[in-house]
Amino acid sequence: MNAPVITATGVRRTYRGSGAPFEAVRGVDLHVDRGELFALLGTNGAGKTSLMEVLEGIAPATDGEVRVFGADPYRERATVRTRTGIMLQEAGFPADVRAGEMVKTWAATQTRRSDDDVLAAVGLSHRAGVTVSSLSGGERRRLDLALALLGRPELLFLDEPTTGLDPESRRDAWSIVRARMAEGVTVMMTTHYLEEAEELSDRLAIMHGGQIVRAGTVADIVADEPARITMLIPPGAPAPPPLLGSTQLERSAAGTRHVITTPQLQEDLFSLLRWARENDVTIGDLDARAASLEQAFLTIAEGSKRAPAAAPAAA
Amino acid sequence: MTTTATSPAPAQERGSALRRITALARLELTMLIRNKTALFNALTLGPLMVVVINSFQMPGMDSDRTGVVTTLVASLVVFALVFAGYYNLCTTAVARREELMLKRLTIGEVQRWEVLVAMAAPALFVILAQVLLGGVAISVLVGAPAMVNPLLVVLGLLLGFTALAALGYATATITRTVEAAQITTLLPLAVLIFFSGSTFPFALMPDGLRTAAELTPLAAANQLMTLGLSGTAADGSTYDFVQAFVAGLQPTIVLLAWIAIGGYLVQRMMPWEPRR
Repeated sequence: MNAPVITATGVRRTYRGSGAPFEAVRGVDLHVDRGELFALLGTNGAGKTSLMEVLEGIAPATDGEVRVFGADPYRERATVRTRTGIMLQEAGFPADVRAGEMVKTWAATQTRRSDDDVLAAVGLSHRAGVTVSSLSGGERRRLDLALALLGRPELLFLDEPTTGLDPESRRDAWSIVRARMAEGVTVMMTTHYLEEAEELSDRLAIMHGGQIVRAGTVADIVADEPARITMLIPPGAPAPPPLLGSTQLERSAAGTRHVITTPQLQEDLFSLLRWARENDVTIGDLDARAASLEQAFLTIAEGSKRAPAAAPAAA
Repeated sequence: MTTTATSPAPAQERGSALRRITALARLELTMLIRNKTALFNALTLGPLMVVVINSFQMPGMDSDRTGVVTTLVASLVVFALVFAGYYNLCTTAVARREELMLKRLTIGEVQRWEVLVAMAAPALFVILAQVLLGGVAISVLVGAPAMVNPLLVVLGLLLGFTALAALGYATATITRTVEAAQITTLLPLAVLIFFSGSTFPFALMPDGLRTAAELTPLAAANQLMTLGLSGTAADGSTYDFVQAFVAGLQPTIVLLAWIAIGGYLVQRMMPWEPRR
């Protein structure tokens, strides 16, 4: 059985400044199994980075319990860190340091040594002698990733790893992550790119208002979302059959465009096609698709504008 | 089955700490050496200061060579500690925080105290270089110092550096930007320099003021240096090698107290990333 590498139970994180206390993480339960890639999604300010920092051991939880490799990542940092690699959403370098020097220094501070050429792995070998201030934003992100990979960590925390990368570099980063996963590395990742989460993750959770509001595989997440059928019915055709989903109509000279939102895609689509055949109607611009992660995400984001927070879920 | 993390043995941990500090200190030194202008200024400041101070016609200069040498060396160390130590480490810590390097270091295996020690390495290097080169200039211009108690000189230099470094980092806790450091360090700099005993000799201060001055870290470092160099205390009394240790007890305690205060403030208040 896969042992959880990360477990979080009832985790809360509150910021106390000069103003009123702000609870950024409000009772999160989750577990990440060995060898799994778990993606954390959410709108800006949902609490992803605040939660990640608690899991990484950068900040303590205000309440609740976190275990990484069975240890408290904040209080037993020294032991947990030897097994983890962290790529923050935002971390800098001194401007005058060269990329190669940074890697060499970081490697020298680690307990686990490896002969991996991490600069080559992220495609920065040719930039080893260049000062960090001369690297582009994308190259700096790749250097960030290179440092996280040093020492062959068993667990990688990647906080928006591909933000600022061009599509090709993003694909390269995905390949690197996949290669590490093939070696059994566990990955905990946040991202704003839904296709990245769909492409890479085994399971994911969507955060809103400091809570996990939906969690599971992509299929689990989109299961509650309705599918959509769009079609153009030519003028003069008989009325379509009653469907399980709701229909919106847009009339034009070319006909009537139907946009059907349905919980039963297959059944409604079958009814429509049978009706078209029986009535000799040619349906135009037919498009039928199951719910997407984007749709589920938008539903939560839209809902968040109307209601402050949904019921929490465990991941 | 859940894997449980194991703690490394203490000796292994100490060795690792030294390795990590060395790696980070090497990086800081590399950056210092790469900045040729800063390095040139830092290294020429010591001898230049000796030449300038020595050009003043100090009272008793011809008859009291030891006193002149002591004044020159103590002044050299005092200014090196306050500028290359206190001010420089305050701005370095703020700069590293602003560029998010401190935040980066919190995600690795490096302990926070190790970061602070490593960051201080170039400052110590500059101070030692300034003292060494300034000492050479003093030897050439005035004569080699004949030290009463060299151990107190070293103690004054090292404890003084540690105390000023701790205060520099403590000031960094309330300093948001490198530019703001020009303001936040102003008052501490004025107090440190004014009460150091180098700008206004202790002998010229009223008793109450002198007592207060002797409790400041730079004055304590100055006293240890002066005791070690000439065996002379702040009140003018002179001591031999052994007596100097006893006389040096008070400034040593003062410096240790400042190290404890600075260390406590840094541990409690140091932000490791820019405040939002």
